[in-house]
Amino acid sequence: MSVETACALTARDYKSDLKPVWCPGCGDFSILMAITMAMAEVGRPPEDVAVISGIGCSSRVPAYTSCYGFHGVHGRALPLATGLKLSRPDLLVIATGGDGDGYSIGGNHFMHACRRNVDLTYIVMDNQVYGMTKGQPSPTTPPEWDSALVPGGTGLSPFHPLVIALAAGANFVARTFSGDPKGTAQTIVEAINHPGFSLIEILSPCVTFRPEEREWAKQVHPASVDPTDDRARAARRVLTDDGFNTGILYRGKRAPYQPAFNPDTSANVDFEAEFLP
Amino acid sequence: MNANDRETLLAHAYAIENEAAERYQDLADQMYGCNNSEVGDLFAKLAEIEAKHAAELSLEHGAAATPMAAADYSWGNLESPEAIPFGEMHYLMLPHQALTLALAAERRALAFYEEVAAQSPNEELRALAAEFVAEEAEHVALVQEWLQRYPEPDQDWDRDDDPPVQP
Repeated sequence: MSVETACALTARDYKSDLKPVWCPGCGDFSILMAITMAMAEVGRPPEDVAVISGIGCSSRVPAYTSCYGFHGVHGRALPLATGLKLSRPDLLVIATGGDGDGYSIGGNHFMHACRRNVDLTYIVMDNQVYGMTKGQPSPTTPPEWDSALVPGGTGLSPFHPLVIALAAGANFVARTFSGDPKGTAQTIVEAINHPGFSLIEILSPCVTFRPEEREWAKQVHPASVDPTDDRARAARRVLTDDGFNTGILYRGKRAPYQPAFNPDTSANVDFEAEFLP
Repeated sequence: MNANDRETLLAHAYAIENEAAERYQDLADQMYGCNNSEVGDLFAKLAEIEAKHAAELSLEHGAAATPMAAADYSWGNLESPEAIPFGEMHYLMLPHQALTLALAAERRALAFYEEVAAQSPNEELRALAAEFVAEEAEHVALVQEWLQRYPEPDQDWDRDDDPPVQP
């Protein structure tokens, strides 16, 4: 270590004056901290960063940062972020949200954002429940989870976001845990610096509607294998793990999507021409 | 942590106090947001004490606000020792529980400096770490004293007559 590695910006520079209204104990507090730590380490000033979200507890993140932000429509963080990055490639664009917003309501956008591989970082705070709307099962909720709203559980197999992301073409895939803000910040830095579409799935306990998720702190463990650039191998690993392996799973080599048009000089008709047969 | 130079030790010391101050203030704000002002006031007071300690480190030892990148800090744990993990909070928590968490945090900081004092090869660094050990021991004693003023919570301390989960 040396003071020569000093950052000019600190995590505090990326926090807004608004106080988060999440439930005390929520994992999203640590993730917000990790995001601001990562931004400080990347070193882009707040005015060069845009944080885009949909709807949900975790989608409140843009308001809690001092960066440009857009708290958009439910499930539509990724199309907004994609459009912004294509029209303003100079910006660092980060999309944030939860499992309900990203994998259910925005599930189709999720797959196609992976496929397009625009240079974005997508941070999903997965608590396996819809918290803001009082505890409905989400796509990642275990089938047997018994609750007042779904007695006996859904009986439905959970969505497997990391496998879907790999199959759809995401270029960087990782899983972290909110209780490790420093490790999460490092992973976010790596995701930002990796070209193309990066997905970071962060296990984030919902202590109000899923209080048993407090136990995740005892269940998570670092993956015992190094990241791979083999998509099939990464998918096999994540399909056979216990859901609590953390670390970078996959670093791909796909070149990010770059539009042929120049947003500064092109008209809309030029942009549309790219998508015509 | 193996502190081989004064600059590294001071950077860690400042980060411990500064992050503790920020965390206590964050926790105070969480409690105020849940109308739990009794615990909010306790955390705010602790934030004030830690901020004062960080300022003293700057004044007396020249510790800087942003000396290193986050990855350069070596805590031997997931977070800096004096920061209460966010995941430990509950909106109905009582002063006894808040101070128990604070006591554990102060003890972690004490253990951190004790380890540095015991392991540093440099006499000047050992002396500096011993000074920090003495300060943290005072904090531990202070929190212990506060803790005695509050009874342990009843079994149903987290009972909420208007719970978020409606059966």
